[in-house]
Amino acid sequence: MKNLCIILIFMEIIIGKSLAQQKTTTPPQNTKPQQKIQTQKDTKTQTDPKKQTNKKEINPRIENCNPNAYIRDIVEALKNSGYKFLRSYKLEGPSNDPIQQEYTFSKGTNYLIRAESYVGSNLKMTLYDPTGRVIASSYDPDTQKFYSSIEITCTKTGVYKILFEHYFNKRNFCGGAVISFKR
Amino acid sequence: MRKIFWLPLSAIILMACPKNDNQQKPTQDTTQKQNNTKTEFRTDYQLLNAMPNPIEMTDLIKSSGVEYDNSLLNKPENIEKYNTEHQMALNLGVYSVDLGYANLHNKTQDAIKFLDATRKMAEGLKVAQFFDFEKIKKITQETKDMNELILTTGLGLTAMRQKLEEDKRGEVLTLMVIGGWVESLYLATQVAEKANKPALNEKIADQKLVAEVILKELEPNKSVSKHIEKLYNDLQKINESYKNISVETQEGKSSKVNMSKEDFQKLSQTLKEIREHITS
Repeated sequence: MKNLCIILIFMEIIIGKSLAQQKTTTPPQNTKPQQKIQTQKDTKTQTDPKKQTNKKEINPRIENCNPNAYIRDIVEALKNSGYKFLRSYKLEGPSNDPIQQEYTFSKGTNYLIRAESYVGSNLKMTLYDPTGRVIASSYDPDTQKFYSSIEITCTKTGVYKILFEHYFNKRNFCGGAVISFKR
Repeated sequence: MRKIFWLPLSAIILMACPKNDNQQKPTQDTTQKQNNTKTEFRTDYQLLNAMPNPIEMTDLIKSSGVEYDNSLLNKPENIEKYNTEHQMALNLGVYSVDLGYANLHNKTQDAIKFLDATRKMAEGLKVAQFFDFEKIKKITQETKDMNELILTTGLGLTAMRQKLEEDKRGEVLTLMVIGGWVESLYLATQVAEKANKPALNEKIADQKLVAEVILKELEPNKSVSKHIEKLYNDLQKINESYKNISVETQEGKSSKVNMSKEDFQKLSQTLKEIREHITS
């Protein structure tokens, strides 16, 4: 009986998790790229709105991942920031395979690394210096908040590593990142 | 009986459980790729992507205050000379830097010429589709918004790089990157000769690291063709010119740049010769 209770509690947790996942896999509504894609879909499937709803449930934002839409949004945001574009990265692929990029930062230059992804993606960026030491992260463990950018003033020229990973999120990567600079 | 009933179900539940989050930890070098092209050119894309964007150097050149000098740039008419993929890839890098230099100085007419030259090189390499040349031309002529121009050309170049990587055209990408790097460093040394700017001198000295990275990329490929071997030997000369040059980071102070006048002259002369090999 004791075993049965444990199993039932366990099942409840699993079912609860599964329901929670269903909720989070509903397409996010508050991001610009999401709205863009839905607009495209609306124009293509106007005749059958039911089908549209079904498609949304399997999360078209990830299924039809378009990292360039995220990159364009970041680029738009950069326009009046004083930062100049350096490089962009597509963030796509399985969640359990963190994305690693490298770039040579120059001493005395300010760099902004900005990433955008779908709502609830828990995308974490970590910046490592040439010695492999973590110098910045987009996740604050104290407040448990994720930030969309990292800004640093480089103090030593060298090859820096940027790691993009999903924090407690098993869904695929879908997003974009941009490195920019200013003096 | 109840135990027998629940046993397989609990096994299924356990199998359905999410994996331990420790398994999400990064695996090292997962994106490190080494691909072979048809000509056996081995490319370390991670290494190439780590190379600095030449716009950082041209931006520093602009901020040095030295007047724009188009006699330093590769003549757009030279495109007629570049018939091989090797030449086109190197000079695509060269012209894209010259385009950035002209753009940063608001030299619209020159920028359009370099844009056309860049387009011709890109067409020759069958990667022109990634540049919206008409849009770039329009921005150059009408808006004079440098940041937008840099963004638009930068996005085009990035898309082109990604396509070259996807198509495993590592040799073309490597040559393009090298051409751009040599041109930006050549321009920097030419400008530094006219104006003694500590920030520019430091940036030039700092490129020692990049020279080493480029040699590392070309080293396993020097036997691919005579062109690559010649380029490798040329780049080795740049590396040798950097022998006595270094930058010392000092805690709490500005860096100490070890670069004598002779060292600088040697580097500047070597770059001039190698840049001549690339553009002639």
